[in-house]
Amino acid sequence: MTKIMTQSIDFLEPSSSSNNYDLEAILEKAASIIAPVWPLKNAIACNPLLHLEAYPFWDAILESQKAFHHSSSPQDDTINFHLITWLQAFLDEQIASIKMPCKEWGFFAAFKQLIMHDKNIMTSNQQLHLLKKIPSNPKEAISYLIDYLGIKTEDLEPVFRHQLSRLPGWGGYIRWLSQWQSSNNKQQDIDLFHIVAARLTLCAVIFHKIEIPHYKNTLALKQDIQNKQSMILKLEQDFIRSLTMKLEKNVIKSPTFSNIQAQFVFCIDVRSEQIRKVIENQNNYQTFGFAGFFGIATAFFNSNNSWASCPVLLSPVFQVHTSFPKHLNLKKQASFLFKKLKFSFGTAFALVETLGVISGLWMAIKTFFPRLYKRLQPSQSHMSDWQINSETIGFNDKLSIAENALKMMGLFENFAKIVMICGHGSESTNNPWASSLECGACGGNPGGLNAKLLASILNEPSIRQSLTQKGIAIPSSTLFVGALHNTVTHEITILDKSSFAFDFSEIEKDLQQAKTELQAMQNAGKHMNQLFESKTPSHDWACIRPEWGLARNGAFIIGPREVTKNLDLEGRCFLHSYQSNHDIDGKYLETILTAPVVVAEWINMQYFFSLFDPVAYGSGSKVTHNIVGGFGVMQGNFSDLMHGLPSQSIFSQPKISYHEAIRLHVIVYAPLSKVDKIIQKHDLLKKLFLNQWAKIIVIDDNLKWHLTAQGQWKDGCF
Amino acid sequence: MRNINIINFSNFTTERYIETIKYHLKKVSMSALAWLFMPIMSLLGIGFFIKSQKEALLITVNKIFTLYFFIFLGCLIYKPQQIFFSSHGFLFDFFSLSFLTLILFIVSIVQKYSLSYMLQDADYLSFQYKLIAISLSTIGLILSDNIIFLLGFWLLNQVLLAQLLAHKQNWQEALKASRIYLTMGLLSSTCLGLGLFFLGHEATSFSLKAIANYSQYSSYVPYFLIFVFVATMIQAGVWPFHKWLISSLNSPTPVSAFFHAGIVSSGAFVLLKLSPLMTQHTACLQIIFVAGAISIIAGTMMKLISSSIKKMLVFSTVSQMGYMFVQIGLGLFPAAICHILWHSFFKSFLFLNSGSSVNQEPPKQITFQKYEALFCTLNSLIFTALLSQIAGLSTQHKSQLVFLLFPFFTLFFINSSILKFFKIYKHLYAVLFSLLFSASYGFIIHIFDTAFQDMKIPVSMDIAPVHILFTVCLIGLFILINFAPRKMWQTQLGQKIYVYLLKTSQSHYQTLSLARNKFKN
Repeated sequence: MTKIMTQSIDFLEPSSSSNNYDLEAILEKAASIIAPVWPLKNAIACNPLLHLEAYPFWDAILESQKAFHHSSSPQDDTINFHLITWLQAFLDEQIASIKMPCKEWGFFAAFKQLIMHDKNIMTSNQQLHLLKKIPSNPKEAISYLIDYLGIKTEDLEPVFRHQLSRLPGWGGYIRWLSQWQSSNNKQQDIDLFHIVAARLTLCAVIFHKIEIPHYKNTLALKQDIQNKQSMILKLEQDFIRSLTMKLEKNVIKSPTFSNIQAQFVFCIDVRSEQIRKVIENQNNYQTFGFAGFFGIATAFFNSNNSWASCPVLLSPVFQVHTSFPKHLNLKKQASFLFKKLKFSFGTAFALVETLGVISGLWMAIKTFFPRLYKRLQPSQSHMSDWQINSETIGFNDKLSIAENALKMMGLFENFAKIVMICGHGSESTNNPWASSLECGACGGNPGGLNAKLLASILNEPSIRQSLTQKGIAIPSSTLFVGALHNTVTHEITILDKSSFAFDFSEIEKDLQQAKTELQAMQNAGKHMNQLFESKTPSHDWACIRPEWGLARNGAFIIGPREVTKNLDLEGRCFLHSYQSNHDIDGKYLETILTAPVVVAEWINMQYFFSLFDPVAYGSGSKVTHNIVGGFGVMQGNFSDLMHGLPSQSIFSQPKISYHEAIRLHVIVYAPLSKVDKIIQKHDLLKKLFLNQWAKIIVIDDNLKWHLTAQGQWKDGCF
Repeated sequence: MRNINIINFSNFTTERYIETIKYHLKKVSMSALAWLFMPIMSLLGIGFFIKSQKEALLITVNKIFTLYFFIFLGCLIYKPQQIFFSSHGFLFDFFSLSFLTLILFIVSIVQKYSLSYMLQDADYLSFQYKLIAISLSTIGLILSDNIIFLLGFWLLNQVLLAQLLAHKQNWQEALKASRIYLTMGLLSSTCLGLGLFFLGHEATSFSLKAIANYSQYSSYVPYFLIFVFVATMIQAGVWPFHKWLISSLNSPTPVSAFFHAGIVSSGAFVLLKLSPLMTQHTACLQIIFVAGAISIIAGTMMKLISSSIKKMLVFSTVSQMGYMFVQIGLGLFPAAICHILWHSFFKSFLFLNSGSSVNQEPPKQITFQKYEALFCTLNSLIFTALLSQIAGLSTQHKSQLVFLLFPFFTLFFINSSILKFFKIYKHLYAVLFSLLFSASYGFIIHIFDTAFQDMKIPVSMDIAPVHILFTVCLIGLFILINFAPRKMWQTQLGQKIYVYLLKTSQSHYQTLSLARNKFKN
């Protein structure tokens, strides 16, 4: 159904240099400390040590920390200064009205051309002469500069690594641009070669020398990591012991299938866990967990833009057209005119005086009357009135989507009258990191459209007919309904409610009750001063942290809901519904382990490292963030592109962390042999579990097994 | 309390009651400062001793600010003459009332915003106290008439602001930015002190109002005025003193918002207070005009190449302050007041909202045919004329024609954008939007013109060579930058200009966080 993208190295081309070293291989090795950084538009969580996953966990940390914390010399700083200046100018597509000249030539060529005019760099004719001699192709330039600077072949890797580790944020974004961006959006000609070439050029032209880094004094670093390691191991042990204890003690009642009021399918996200529990308490409701893109690897597009609504590990297979109501278009044009005037020469002055009083009023409304603001500016993320047209998906594809989804989540019999497919999305105002709170499985977009799409597919009579032949008999009275779970307010909006001939009032009442209960529960557990906590976080423009997102995540439970039902998992577990007795050949488990688990591991690692070393992997405080180019943030005047989580997402108070730095514990309810076979088959999983980037525990008929770093299954949990 | 006791309730009639109120209002407003400061200061005093309820206290202070804003807004609308006073070195007139209302508005919003925005910050309480302190000090500055008070508040502002800029104590680059600001602040205080002292010496008065209205100055006055200009130019971030302003972004967003709304305009406030003096020395006005004109051009150019949102807003302030200086230089004092007020609203809004600028639509180039150009020009000319009629600009001051250039630009651009990007009813929309713009702009100018009648320049201003030079430059740049093809920048000259602009638009080198592994905040 879906194609899993291997983490191929796109820019590897046959070696062009005649020298006795392989530039591409060396650079790739040196660049392993740089992980891709997604733009703010869809800020996906990613393991900041992604390309070091081939190493054991703690060795990889040392490797990354060694490079990052190597002291910066004034020479490095000067180079950073010039490079950030030009990268900003080159990569910005949205803010500056006057674009960088010569952009079309690619970064390095344009950079080389333009620094020629920089009087601070070009102080003598020799420098100009040298600059002109450097080839414009980055790879050739690197080879030339290696000779010029006299770097020995064995020093190449440390030099490259050091140069790249000076600005991991900008490097990461460039890595995303060159390797992860969908190819039809590609506009800029830039990759890590351009960066290294530019850095070496500056070294040669300004300083005529390069410093060879020696990673010698790492003793203090090792000690530091060891201290943290022992702390983390203890935390993990406590966590997994108490979790398995809970799971063990839980009395599993076989579910009663009679008179189920409704069934809800939620995303596996840790935020779904709590709302599922509350909803189940309301009435005879059954809930399921399933990756929030609902197995449909699709991209949506409308007249203005297109976005992939599936995990970034997959590339979208389908293109689905969606359209939103007209009034949004008109509003857009008015604000477009406003922006046009703001960003042009000589036009903003009179504009200020005309609109000054309006912006003052607007500001007062936003500050003092957030509820009124919400009414005036209804959220667009609702998607309730967005129309989708699924004609582009063929019948057979639809059928396989439907079959796989139902079988994977274990819902193929005992259908209730209403099956609600709940995607989730976040709602916040004035928050550059908004997309990082959206559904990760939908590529940083709200999951409402995917939910609607799956519901509409499952409602098609012809699909249902074919499903019956495959052994899934859906009663004709059953309705599939798309819904959107707002993770800030915990409101669940039923999408396209009016198109169903069904009275939802009972369910809506229960959902309302569930929302109130959950809000009360979360308020009781808040770690901060109640007075200032925004009462309307979803539309308060001053709200710095509308929700906690996926903080405190620590486990991924793959198994039937019965094993976790009635347990208080504190919103720390991803829950994926799975019934191994219906998955004979392990096909579905394989999909779960290779896609949702990997996404969860990325999320977990992002949180882990943002807390482990906030300087290296976090993006600092949000209050001084400065959006650059519409794609990233810098701190204050000028800095590296800040990647990783802001401190507000990790810490509840200064120096008191809310998140707990623990690795992801994957708990699978399945026969050991089946799990073992799947792990053996996939290098990706071997890498994750053997190098201990995540831990796996298999519960097979009340026996617990865990996988050690040596690749052996041992009795008990860690 | 004491005041109320005096009212004699036995002889109560409505008229008498109103009379009494009026009488006491005057007395009461004499102590307006005390009224404003006392509750807040006493609350803060309480806050110093109690341990637990500090947050509730901050919210109360915010409510007081908001309440005062509404009271003074009411005064601004109904203009009860009784509240104005002048005593003990303080002057409260309509002009300071309008600024006071502005500052109270900005303060109440910025403070409310930062109450939840700065939550979870290490020095949360001290930040809030400093914000309140600087608000009070700015209000003090606005009410001061005695130049010693004025200087005191001016200096206090600089020191407090330097503290706020260095809010992130672990961040070396923020401390550097704060130090740079403090240096410039002390320089501006010295200049202001020297200038006002010399002027005061000649006018034999400590009162700013007396200094401004004194008419028997010696011929050295322009030189003293230059000192005052420099002080206000530093404070307003006008070229060539803009470097500290563009290095000030290492501070939390609410600080920037307050900065660009409250502090920057307080420089212009002092300058406007001296307007009667300046009208006697038109040469001085031309110096202000030139500084403003350069600021407009440099600020706008650098704004258009900035790729980070806050940087763009900072350069926007530089150019907007330049525009305000140009207005002062043209003798359009009411228009300048109007611009400062609305710019404060505008800029603080944009700063506070700066988290929303993710994934904007990329700016597009406008190109068009001959007939469209003709239509735009004609339409803009007609509506500019309409605007000047509505605004009631007198033809006596020819130099005001320069001022009309700016609404013309905006109108022209509105027209051309609509023609280019709207799909249906283009011409209708163009006329409609032009009408809307020129009517509202003209109306606003008209309101300010009548409200600040007494500040209007009495002498007639003619067009000077600098005005013509500036106009030509502006028109040329307007056409080149907005409508010329991108190829212009590809030429050697274009590249050179671009590189020069990009490099000069950088903040102070020491305030840049260059090493990622040393960054901490």
